[in-house]
Amino acid sequence: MVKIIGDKQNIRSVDNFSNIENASNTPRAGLSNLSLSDENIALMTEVAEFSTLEKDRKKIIYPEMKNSRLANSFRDLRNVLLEKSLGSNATIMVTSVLPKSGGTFVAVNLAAAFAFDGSKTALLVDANLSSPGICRYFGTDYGVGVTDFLENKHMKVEEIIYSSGVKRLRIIPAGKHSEYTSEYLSSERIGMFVHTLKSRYKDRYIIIDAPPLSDPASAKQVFNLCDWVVVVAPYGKVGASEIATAIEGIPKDKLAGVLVNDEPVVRDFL
Amino acid sequence: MDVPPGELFKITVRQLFGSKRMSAVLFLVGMSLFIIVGVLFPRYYVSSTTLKLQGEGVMQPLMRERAEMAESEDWLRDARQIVLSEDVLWKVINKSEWGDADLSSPVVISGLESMIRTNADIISTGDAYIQFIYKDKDRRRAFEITHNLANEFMNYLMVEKRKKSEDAFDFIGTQVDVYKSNLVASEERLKKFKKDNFDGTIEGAVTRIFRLEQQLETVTIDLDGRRFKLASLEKQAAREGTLKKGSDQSAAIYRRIAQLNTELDQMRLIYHDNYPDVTALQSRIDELKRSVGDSDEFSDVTRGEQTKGSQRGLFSQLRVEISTIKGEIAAMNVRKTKLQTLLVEQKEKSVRLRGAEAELAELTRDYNVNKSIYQDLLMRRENARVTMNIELEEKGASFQVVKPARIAESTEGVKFWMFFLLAPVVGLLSPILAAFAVVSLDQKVRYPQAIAEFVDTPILLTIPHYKNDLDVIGRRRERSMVVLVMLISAVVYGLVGYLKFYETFLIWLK
Repeated sequence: MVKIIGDKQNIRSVDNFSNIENASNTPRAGLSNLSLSDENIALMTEVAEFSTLEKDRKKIIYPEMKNSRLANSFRDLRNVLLEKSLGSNATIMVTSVLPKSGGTFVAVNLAAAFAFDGSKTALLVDANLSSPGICRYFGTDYGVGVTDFLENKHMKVEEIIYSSGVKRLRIIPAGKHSEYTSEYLSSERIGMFVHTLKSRYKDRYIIIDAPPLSDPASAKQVFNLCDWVVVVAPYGKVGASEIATAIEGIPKDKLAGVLVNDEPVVRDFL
Repeated sequence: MDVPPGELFKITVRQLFGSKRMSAVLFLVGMSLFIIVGVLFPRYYVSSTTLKLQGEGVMQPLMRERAEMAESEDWLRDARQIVLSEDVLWKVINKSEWGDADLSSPVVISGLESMIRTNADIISTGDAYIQFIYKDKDRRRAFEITHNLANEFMNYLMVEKRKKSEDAFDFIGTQVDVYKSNLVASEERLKKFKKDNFDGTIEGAVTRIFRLEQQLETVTIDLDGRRFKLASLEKQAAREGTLKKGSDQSAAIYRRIAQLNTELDQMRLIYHDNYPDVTALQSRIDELKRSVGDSDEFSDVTRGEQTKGSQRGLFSQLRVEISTIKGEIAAMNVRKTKLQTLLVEQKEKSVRLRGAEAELAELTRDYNVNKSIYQDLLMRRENARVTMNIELEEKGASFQVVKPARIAESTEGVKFWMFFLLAPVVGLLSPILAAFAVVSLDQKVRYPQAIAEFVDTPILLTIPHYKNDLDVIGRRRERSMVVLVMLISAVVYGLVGYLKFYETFLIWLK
């Protein structure tokens, strides 16, 4: 259950590997105050892997899941993005037309889909600073995150990267400071931050969970930081023209696609 | 946005199941509303009666081409206008029972009229049949009004037809009178003309002119002949007249000579020849003899006496002839003049006769036209009289009640049980239609390709819903609610069925 990822990252303590359910509910304090030597990194442990049941509860996809249509739709999305990136890693921003469109759900599962592949890793960044969503999937007690990093010039990137409970998937939470979000996103440091993340490992794909497009200040500043933008539209809640208006500001060469999320499945109702 | 039918179907089904509770409620509401409509749906008792145009009765074949049968088919065609006219409806309303309705109020009457107009149906079936149909919530009234409509229609027709034949008869009667006076007048004119223009025909006049011209010609030729003859006779007579004058002188001398000779003879008896008287006498005689010619002797005297006699005969004969011819010429001239006068008269007459002939033709034609019209009208009047009598005797075309109006036993139209049976189907259809309406009318995106026309992007994907245990719990709650709604529906349906059909069911069991 313990996997050493070749990454300088914070180590999450896992209290009890055998008690998986418990593990998912355990506060996972980032051990950012611990400074670890490179040697120790090799020995670093992952947090306990989520069980399939947990993943189901949290709505995180996994390769062997029954609902193959769902898993395949994320696989398809991943493949298209891989093709577009021509082999190198990429920064992919997932945003939505409206709040609560399922942007975080898509971001989490897109990251999970990248992590399906044993040769690739994924890093999920919660850039939705005013209402962070990733914690709903991976727990709440992460400690420092993006805002802390942007605040503290001395902080290193490694200090805010956390293990997630999904193999080959790392997360960076939003952080403790949630005020002045637009200022954070427009700061120069965030550019450096993203650049660092991307350039560190060639096989790591960075997925940024961005604020919705309806939040005018927040989303657009992140466009420049990423290679591709994926827009999530909620099923049956938004008109085509609204979508068109929302994506107007996205540079054409960066817009990877539009997803209609949360389509009801008739079989589920029977 | 154009969604392909297959996709639209899928979206509709998703919508239908995605809002299951709403669908269940819609089922209940749709079914209940349909049952309520079924209960409230107006039901009518319908009465009908059929009349047949009686094929002109026994009179038609008997009176063929003698009577102008009133055209009942026209009435049949206009039956609706006739029956639903205010006059007829007023009678119908007055003959029917209306409970407490105040029939003296014009408002009430006009309300009833429009009600009858709405509920009545008059159908002309085929050539000779007419059907009156009336529907009413009251079965007794439905019957009554149907019956009265048919009766009033027949009454109206009878009166109208009678009136029509009488009018026709009266009209033809006046026409007959007019043409009779015309005929009499033209007859009078013809008679007077004939009286005034009695002097022969144009042919007679022409023959007469021809004859007169012939006569005139003959007279002229005769007259010319006579004139020529007269001229030649007069020439001859003139010559004969000169000759006679000469012979008369010598005859006188001879006679004197003869007289003197006698005297001489007597004197010689008494006296000698030398006596002076005798010598004087002798010389005298000689002298006379010398004057008439030496050759002329006593023989001449005798001969002269003979010539003188024949000459005198010819001349007088000539004179007689001349005088006769002159008389004849005078007579012929008179005749010629007379003939000429006659000819002029005849010619004038012939001209006059020609004018009269044209006038006569005009008058005759006028007379003949009047006469034929008059005769025709007389015949028509007789036909009209027969028709009128037939109508008065009510033996003309009439209607026979083929199917009398009856009181209806049950209502017509859509029955409650049909509503009842269809209610679950309608219940099922209502959420489906509602879902379809929502996905068709709502412009929200449920189908990623729908935004292709707005967004130029390579990826258009649909992420299906991620169903997990928590969903299942939620769904279970939803499902139980749906079941509850369906149970309520079943109870409602069963209750209505029980209340409405229990008695029928019991009767059916027995």
